Amino acid sequence: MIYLGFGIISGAVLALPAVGLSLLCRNSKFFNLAYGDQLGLTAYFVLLFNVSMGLSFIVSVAFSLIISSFLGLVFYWVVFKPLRGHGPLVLLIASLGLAFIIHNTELAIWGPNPQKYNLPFETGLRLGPFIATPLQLVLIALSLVLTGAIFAMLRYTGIGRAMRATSDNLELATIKGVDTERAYVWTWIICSASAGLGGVFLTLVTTLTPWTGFTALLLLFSALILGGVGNLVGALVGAMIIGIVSECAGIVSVLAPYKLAVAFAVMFIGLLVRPSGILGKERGF
Amino acid sequence: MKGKVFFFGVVLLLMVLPLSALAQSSKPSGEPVKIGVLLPYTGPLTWVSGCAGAIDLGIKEINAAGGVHGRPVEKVVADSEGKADAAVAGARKLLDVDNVLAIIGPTSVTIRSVIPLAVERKVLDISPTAGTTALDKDPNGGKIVFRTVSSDTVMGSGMVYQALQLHAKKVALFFEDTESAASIRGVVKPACEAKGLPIVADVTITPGAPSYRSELLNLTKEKPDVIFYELSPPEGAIVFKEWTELGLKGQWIGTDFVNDKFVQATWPASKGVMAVNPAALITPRYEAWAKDLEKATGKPGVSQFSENAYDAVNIIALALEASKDVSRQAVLDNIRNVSSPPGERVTGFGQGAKLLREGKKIDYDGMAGSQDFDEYGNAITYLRVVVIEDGKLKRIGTLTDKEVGPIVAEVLKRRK
Repeated sequence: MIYLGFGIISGAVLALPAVGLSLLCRNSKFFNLAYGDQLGLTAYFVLLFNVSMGLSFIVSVAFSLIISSFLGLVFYWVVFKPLRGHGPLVLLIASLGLAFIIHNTELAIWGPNPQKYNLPFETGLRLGPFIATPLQLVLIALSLVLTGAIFAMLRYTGIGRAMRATSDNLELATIKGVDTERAYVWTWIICSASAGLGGVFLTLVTTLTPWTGFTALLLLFSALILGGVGNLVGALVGAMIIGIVSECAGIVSVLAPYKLAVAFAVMFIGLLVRPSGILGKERGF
Repeated sequence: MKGKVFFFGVVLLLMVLPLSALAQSSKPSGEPVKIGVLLPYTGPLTWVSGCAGAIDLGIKEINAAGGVHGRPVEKVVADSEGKADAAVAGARKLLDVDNVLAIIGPTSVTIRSVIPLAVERKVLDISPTAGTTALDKDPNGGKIVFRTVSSDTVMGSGMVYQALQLHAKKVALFFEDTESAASIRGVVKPACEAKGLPIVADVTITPGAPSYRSELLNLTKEKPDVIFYELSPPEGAIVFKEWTELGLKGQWIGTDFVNDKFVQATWPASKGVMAVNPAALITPRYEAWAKDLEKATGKPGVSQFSENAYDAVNIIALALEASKDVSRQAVLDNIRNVSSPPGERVTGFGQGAKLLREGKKIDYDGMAGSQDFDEYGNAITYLRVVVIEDGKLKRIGTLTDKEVGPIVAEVLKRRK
């Protein structure tokens, strides 16, 4: 059971950015390879405000998320919107270029050494068969609440409906008078903020290096493909499965060196059994 | 008349001799003698390149002593990035574009990729950092490849010696899945067997995972007294954070990966963590040198492998000075002549070069150790025992051949 608890922590950390990435894939119709580095960049912004400038952690996160959302919008306007008509492959390659630019910027500014935030050190609490620190419990709760908020926004708000309509059928939504451009803008804002917060979560439970984003991206795509591309609930389920499986692989000494490979193997087997992902193409909300 | 000529001749000679001596130590001129430095200046192993400051100090001293055959020595760098392909590209640049006479570096992770090129071009590759046991009996060792740092066989044996000093009854292994870590693991295992220390858990991890909690619980099931490990700073930061969060107990003993950057990344979770790594003996000579290095680099402390890097550049310069020509072959032909007995013991380039110019044999004793190379180009250097306290590395002991030698012998016997 204790290992299941560890898996839930890992899964919860991945859940929010996985849902954000799934939403972005669904609405923009391409795999954004710069998403992982956007995630890492926001975590570095928090480092800048919190460690270099000495601001409180909460204020640092708030400022960083604003910058991250704005930056996501800039990427959309400058890189992805002009290339939208050229198909998903061009967008994919453009996102790869952007990922390299962000990664090398991080490397140039902050260097390769691991970084951490100015936060007090915590020891774990025994909660029945589980062990978790208070911070990890907060992260699990925040991840669930914010993921739920994204689902609620998509279901109950006007912009959420516009985003769904745009992703389902762009032409029809345009004919029906939906402001599709506004829907794209909000998609990029929400997904960039989700990525950013995911980066902060990941840094809190692990550490931050310029490679954090790329490693996370592999896990996020695995979660996405496992759950069903574009399916938001699928992304959430996929993230939890990837988290739990990779933690459980660590129990067996022989499998420990291959824990990431085991997570990818589960994704591969999942695809063989159900090519459209666990929850398939259902919208899930 | 003859008497006068003789008198003036003697006076002239007396005037010229000091001038020629002065000329030898005056500012070097002419075409620079290029020495290549191939280290990971970028990438996760960047901390290793901290030792390059000691190469700069060595070159400064060599040039202050008149240079090599009156020519200035110049350092040319290339970035290995800690990756095989980048290391080979860097070595090609040093050899083909910069035309260096010898290469200092790279690390254990990439050296075996560079060796074929060094062999092909017949150029010395001397590493101040590559402790990998894969070089212990390399066929090119002692001919093309040398190292001024001890093999991991020595460091791994030192780690086991330290565990025995702590009266460990059971031990566990926790290593990354890298060449460097595999090298140490390959020493620690037979050393434990030789000393009758049962290994109750043996965990290997692949860097890049977001968590190692399960592995840590698995590691401590049998409650080992000591855990031998090698982790890079990002993995160390996660592992020690989770170790403390889980409230686990045990004494960690690590390798030369435990350095200032490692402490910076892992503190305060790494409080009390130990390591055994190559270092110089603390002597007045070393302390004076460490001050010179701090002054030259403008940074406090001595970076890991600095002593070894300093020795490497001095040995290359002395090998060239010992030859009539300045060439790659001259370095290879003379490296043993200047670094190993017989010869008058010297501790710096200036002293060594003076004796060589007088036609005497020399034996360079370096900052990291005697640098007397064995058949395969390996040198034995000293080890230090450190513990992480107050966010810094604190030296708590020194290990010499006397302490570690018997374990090394047993490991080598088992390896056969």
